[in-house]
Amino acid sequence: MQPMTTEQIRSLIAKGKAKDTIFQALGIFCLGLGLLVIFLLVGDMLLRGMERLNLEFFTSFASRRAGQAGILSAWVGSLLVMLVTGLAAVPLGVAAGVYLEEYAKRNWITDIIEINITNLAAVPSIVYGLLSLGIFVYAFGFGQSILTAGLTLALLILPIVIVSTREAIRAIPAMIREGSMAVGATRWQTCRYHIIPYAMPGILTGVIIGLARAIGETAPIITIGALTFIAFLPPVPFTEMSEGVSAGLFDWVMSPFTVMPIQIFNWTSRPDPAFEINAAAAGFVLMVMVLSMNAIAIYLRYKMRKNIKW
Amino acid sequence: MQIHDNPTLKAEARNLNFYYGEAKALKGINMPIYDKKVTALIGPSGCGKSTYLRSFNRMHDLYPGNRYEGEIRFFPDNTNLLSPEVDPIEVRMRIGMVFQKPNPFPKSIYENVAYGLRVRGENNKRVLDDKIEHALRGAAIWDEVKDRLQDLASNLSGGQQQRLCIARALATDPELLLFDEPTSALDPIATGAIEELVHEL
Repeated sequence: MQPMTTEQIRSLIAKGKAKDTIFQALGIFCLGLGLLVIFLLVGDMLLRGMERLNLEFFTSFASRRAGQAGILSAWVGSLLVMLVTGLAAVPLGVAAGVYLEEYAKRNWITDIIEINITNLAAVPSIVYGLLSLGIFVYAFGFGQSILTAGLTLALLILPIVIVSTREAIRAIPAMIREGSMAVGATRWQTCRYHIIPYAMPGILTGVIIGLARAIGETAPIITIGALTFIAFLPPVPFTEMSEGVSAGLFDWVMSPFTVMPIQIFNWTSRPDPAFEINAAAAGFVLMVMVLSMNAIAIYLRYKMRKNIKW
Repeated sequence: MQIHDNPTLKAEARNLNFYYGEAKALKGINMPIYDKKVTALIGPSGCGKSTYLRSFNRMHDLYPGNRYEGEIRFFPDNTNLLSPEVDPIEVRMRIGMVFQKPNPFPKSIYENVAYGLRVRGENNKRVLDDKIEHALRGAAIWDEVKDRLQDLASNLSGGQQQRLCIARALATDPELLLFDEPTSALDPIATGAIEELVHEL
């Protein structure tokens, strides 16, 4: 083959660069389109709901009059349900992920479990709702409580937690594990001092992504029978509930509740258009909750990863 | 190396074979290792030096499908290190290892060296401080790190990291210390320092 002349080389580079430019423009266009849609959605909700976004909106219960209705029981309910979800899903998911990565032998049983965990993440959420209605509400007798909702959503995000735990563990180089085992550590010591701490940023990211998904779930919560109109809060521990009866530390978990998406759904289904303003305002609040959860995830990941270098 | 004055036997490989699954990696190795002596293995890459070395502390047990045949006798108690009845953790408690690439934990310098001791249940701060200083001195890195023991080990240079890994292995007073080409990832000056160190040990 003849060596190329300078002109040929230059025209080759020019052709390559033209493609570069086209791809770059396409990328910017797609990115811009995505961002634009999000901004329009959030902006629209903000503009329409603006007049209701004041302190009163956060401290008022639901009401028949749109102008007086607020999201107090909904945001408190959402936070408490998330608390139960996190407390149930994190230990279970992390333990399952650590077991599968560090302890389980590779054979056809673990292969089947692996495939099914990935499949579980794709199960429609209403199916989890039906499952919990049968198990938690009726069989265990937890009723239509915060506990039931929290456990239902925990099941929903469990696959996400397990998968992110496993991926975080796989990112730890084998030489770290070997270094730990070489001084005579047991598997558990290796997990306790190395694997779990180093996987923590990845695990936390998965947990928060899971919680952000769970906080927006409506279908399974409706299925288990959350209330749509509620004008009281779960009992605060150690305060007086009625004459001479004070609430126990965990009484709130058995309390009826509502959550943000249900409140929004309820308002959009009312005939009075005034409620649509409330729905838009509540939708904006829910967006802010989800975005701030993601922000926390990014911050924690950044902060924890700073010290972990191989 | 030359052997003077009847050295005592510390370990001995007898008809050692090793398989990665079906592939036979070590074939009939017989070899004595003497107490308080440096025994060096040389050979082209891929000839099984690391595989042989990693048999001594049962590193191969961490991965499925590996199989040993034959024995490695360990003295003075004449234990067969490869016997299935011998717990690999017990073997690793007695035999330390320094790896090809420095692999400090992403923790402080102090915690890196303390780890082996903590695994052995030692949590007394004074004992830990003492042993850590001793190990770091032994690995000829004490003077460089004594004022920043709480710094992250990953901020050290490659040569320092490798000496830290040596200190980590020394801290638990192993009866035998395995070095798997500890200087292959280092520059000539760091290599010189570590070679000198091994001689002093």
